[in-house]
Amino acid sequence: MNNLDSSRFSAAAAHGVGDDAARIAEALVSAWQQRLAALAPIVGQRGAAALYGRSLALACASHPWLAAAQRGMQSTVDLPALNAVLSSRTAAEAAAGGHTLAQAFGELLTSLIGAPLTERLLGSTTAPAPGAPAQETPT
Amino acid sequence: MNTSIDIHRLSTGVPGLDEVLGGGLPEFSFNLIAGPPGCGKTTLAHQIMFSLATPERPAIYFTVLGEPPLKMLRYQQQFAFFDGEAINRRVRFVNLADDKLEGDLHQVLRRIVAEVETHSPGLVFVDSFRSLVAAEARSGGSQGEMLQEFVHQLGISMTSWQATTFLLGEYCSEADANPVFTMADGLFWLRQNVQRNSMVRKLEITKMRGQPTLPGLHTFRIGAAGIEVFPPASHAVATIAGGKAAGPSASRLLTGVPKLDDMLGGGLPRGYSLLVAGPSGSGKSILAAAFLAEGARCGETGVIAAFEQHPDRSRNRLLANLIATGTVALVDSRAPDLSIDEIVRLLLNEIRRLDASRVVIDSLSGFELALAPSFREDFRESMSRLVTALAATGVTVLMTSELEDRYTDLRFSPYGTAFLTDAIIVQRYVEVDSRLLRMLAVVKLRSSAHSNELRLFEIDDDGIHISDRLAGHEGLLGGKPTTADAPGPPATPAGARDE
Repeated sequence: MNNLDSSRFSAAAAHGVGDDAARIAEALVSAWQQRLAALAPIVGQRGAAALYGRSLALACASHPWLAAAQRGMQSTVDLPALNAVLSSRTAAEAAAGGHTLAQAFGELLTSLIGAPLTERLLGSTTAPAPGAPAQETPT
Repeated sequence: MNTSIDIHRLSTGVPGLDEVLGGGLPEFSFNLIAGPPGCGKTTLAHQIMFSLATPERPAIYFTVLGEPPLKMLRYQQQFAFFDGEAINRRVRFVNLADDKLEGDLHQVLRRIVAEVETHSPGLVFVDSFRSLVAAEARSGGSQGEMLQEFVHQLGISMTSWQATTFLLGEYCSEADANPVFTMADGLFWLRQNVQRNSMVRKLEITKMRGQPTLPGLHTFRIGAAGIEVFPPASHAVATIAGGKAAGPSASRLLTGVPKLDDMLGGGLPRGYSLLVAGPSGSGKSILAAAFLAEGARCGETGVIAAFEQHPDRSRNRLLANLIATGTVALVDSRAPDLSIDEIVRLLLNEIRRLDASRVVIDSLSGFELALAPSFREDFRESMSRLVTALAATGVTVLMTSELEDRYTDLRFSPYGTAFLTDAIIVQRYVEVDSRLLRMLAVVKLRSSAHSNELRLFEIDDDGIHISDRLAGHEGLLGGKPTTADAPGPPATPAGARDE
């Protein structure tokens, strides 16, 4: 599995392959670490944190509980906080929330620098819509 | 034995810049790109980077506290030279803001050196190093000393690692930070000259160690393809057209108006510049179109720079067809704030592309308006450079010029530029029997016999038709001729000769 492709993990979790929220949280955070490791050298820690913060705010619209993953404006991404929030939810909730957050991040970056450059920098981060074929393929 | 090192010069990928640099960018040079905000420093750096970076000679672009990297990527990819596929392959972006915020300048320098040692780039860009030093100064340091130390250390490291380096910095005056300028091998100054609503970008290479650069300010334009620099017209001729013509030859070109060829003594000598001056509507553009069409009929190609009516309009079907078939190239620059060097470069590019022998500029009046105000102030000099540049290519040039019909004096050129051209044809209106008639005369034809007659002409769908003199009249140039008591002199050709 592509570590950056959280959508597949989300889909797998939704189908009960990973039924432990803590394990799902750990995997999602690991994907975020790689995502940020790819991006932060280019845009800076603060630049990456700003993008993450915006993505979190967007994802909160459908998963309000994600708001607890960040308090106020941060100069770095607080991944332990994200891990804690995801772990506190059910496996399905953690997978769906994590998927939405990653999708928001990909769409945000795409809106700023375009899809080709986003893919070049991060690999594929755009999660498929619910019901898309990827969800049918357990990994 | 010559033991001097042969410095390899890199082609920058910026049209015109290599010529201004004196043959390209010296490899391993340590350069400063300076200028006020918005002058194009980042764009110039990116264009050079994407052009020069290869897998074997990768580039690192360090961003510091200037333009946020995301915005830089967002906007720079609008240019054609931007290659997203190159990123993280032959081009690597590294942000140093965190290093700056967390540590001092030495930390930033260590980070740059570490990245360079890790990736061994052949090209290094630091954008913008000055904001970095300014931030340090605000925290209590001496800006001048820190800047000098930082640049000195960076210069030593980058040269040792065989990296051609560019520092980008916001400077508004050359009086700023002289120690830095001293340390740099190359100094690129970008400027913006604003006058009324006009803005002209200019580049100056104030220094380039080891090679002679073209001195002075060179205009450049930022378009969808990126930056294009316009070297001086005279230099552009030598490099683009190869200066293929030694001068006018004995052969003559037909103008497309047979009786005019007769008046010229057999046509216009090849390589001459001809000014066709006359009031609005007198038929200058039609004569110019006939000149190009005759060239096409003789198997020659041409170029027209149109600054007035659009050549595609139906009234000029002849010219539109020539353009459509590719026999005549159209330089239709609607770009604002043209410089003489830019228009010469556009013309020369087309002349070279088509191996053209005939060039039309329609009209000088429109050309003057198209020039940026700062260039209009010395239009005669601009005209001189234009005519000289075109003459050096060996083409035959026809220029039209709007001439206000004043009947109190006899003028041939509104700009005092008549001496620049080899030949002059003047068209005028004359009132006869309550009708407005057209007439023309060959006023000047250098080193050649020509007619001295004032000849009537008409324009119809087939073009210009020259008829006879208006016999029995005098005072034609006053606009209202009177019937002469005595008959005029016989209508013999070759009545004048300019030396």
